[in-house]
Amino acid sequence: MIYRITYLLVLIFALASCKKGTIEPINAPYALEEPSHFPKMVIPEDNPLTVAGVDLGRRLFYEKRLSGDNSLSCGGCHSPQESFSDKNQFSRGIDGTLGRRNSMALVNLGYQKFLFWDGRSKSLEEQILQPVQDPIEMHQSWTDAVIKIKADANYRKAFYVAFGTDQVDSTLVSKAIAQFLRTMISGFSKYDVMYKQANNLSLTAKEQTLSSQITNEDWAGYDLFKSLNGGDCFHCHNGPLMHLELFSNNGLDNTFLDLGRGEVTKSPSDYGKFKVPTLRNIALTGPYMHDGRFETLEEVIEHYSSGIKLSPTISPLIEFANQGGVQLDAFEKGLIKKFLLTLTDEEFINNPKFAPPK
Amino acid sequence: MKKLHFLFLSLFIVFSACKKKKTDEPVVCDPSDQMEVHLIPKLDGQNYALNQIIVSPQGYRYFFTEIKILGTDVANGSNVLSDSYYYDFYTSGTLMRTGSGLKSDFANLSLNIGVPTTLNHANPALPASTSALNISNCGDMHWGWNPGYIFVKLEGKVDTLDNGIDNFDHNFVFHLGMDPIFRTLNFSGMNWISLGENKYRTNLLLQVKDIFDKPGEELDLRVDYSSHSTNTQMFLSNSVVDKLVNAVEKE
Repeated sequence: MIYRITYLLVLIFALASCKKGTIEPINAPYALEEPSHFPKMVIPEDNPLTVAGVDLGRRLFYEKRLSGDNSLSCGGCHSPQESFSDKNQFSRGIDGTLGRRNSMALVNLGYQKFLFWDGRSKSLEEQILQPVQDPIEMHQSWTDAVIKIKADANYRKAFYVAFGTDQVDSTLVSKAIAQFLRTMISGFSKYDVMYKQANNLSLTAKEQTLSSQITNEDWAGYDLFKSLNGGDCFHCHNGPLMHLELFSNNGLDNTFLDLGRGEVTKSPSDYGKFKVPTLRNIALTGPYMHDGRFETLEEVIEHYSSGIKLSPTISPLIEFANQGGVQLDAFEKGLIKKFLLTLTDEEFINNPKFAPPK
Repeated sequence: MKKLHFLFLSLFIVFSACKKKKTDEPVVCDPSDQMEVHLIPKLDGQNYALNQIIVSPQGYRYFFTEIKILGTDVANGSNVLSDSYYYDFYTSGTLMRTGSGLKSDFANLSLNIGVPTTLNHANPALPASTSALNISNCGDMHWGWNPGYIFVKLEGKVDTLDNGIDNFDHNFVFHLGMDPIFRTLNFSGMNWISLGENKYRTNLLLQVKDIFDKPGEELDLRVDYSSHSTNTQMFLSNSVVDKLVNAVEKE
């Protein structure tokens, strides 16, 4: 008997002493589904996507306890059916205060280098920290938000699984939400099929089904969208992502109530410039512009056609600014709108992976 | 005794199983230097800032709002410092590209303005995510697969009204691309300035006034103010890219 006990003790000691001194992986990596025509997303090394991290981020994105009165989540101003934007001109914070800019659509954020209309954040992790504390949005200190989250045993467990610690803090909350947001990829619209067809990329069976729905008017609208003497839209809206990293004054005003990018850089040459938004799911993301001044796509098209206002920082790319815009006729405006509708990705907005958790 | 043997045998097996595998890891010896290539816009001997007014020989005034160059192969022969670069003066300042290698290998330096034909019409999503040619890094320097990359963007405003008031009523936009616009610049006897800890930088200068106002080669921006390198605009695009090339010099 004593031999057996000695044997077991020595065996346990021996196994324990040779245990490898590394941390075992605590979670499976998340397999990001990127469309074949997209560039590969660059994921920060200190926040790799994991199944548990993405799942936790999704729960936190829809978590109302992140707001001061437990009434508002991130999803409250970024609704899936509006392509994760807000149908209201300005979103209402928990104290009833209205914001001053329209909520941006959360689409393909993992490919973007500047966030917010004025580009003041350069990473998702940094961006996510702001709305919680903002008095006109969720209006809650991170200290209080974290206390609420930590009080929930399910969250403590989820943080442990995702990050190997139950010491929840704002950094980990933002990391988890950032992971979730990076999975929100929209790349299955008629436009994507048109982009691939135009560049002789092979289509999947699913894309071929979509291809059959593309009309001649859609193609004509695309041509006009790209034409220098037509819509001339492609200078700022182009490529597989239909998003360019630019700040632009697109001729909305002669003088500026909101300095936009100029608030960040303090440079007068940036006054009135705003981040050029993605056009993905544009039919769903109205009202439009940084201040949500246009309710419909028709109004937006009319602005570029005849409503351009001159100012010192107007983008040189608006080449017909001196005549008020590109001067489209009714038929051409209709074609541009037809093309804009091709950017709607039904699969994206109805993806259950992005919906509020049950 | 038999049990004791069994115990030693078990221990031997356990220790053998968990014995760390020895690998002959090579000693990492990285002799490379970190080298930065800068392009510094200059006006009358001073550093130029975007939106800073330039007076043309004809007396009208203009300024640049964007100076962007997309290019390839910052190299000295077969020694490549970087296979691509994206110079965006507004966003990244004067830095063209950082690369690693041996400083002594880059006594001379060449670089391409633009992208060789073989890459110009390829899928822009495929270059490595660190490459300047990846569409994520140069989205606004790409027209589409068929036209290809935009090699150079020069944008700004011109004051065409000589009335003593800042009007800057006209834009100029030169988007230079397409295969015939490709150019190579060569410099010899590079001066690499030590930044400490195996870091070096070398400066190229862009004489902004020489782009449109070099004596005898002036371009009147009140008349010629736009090219998107369409077929009918290629003469102007070729002219402007040559002016740009001639405006770049070694410090």
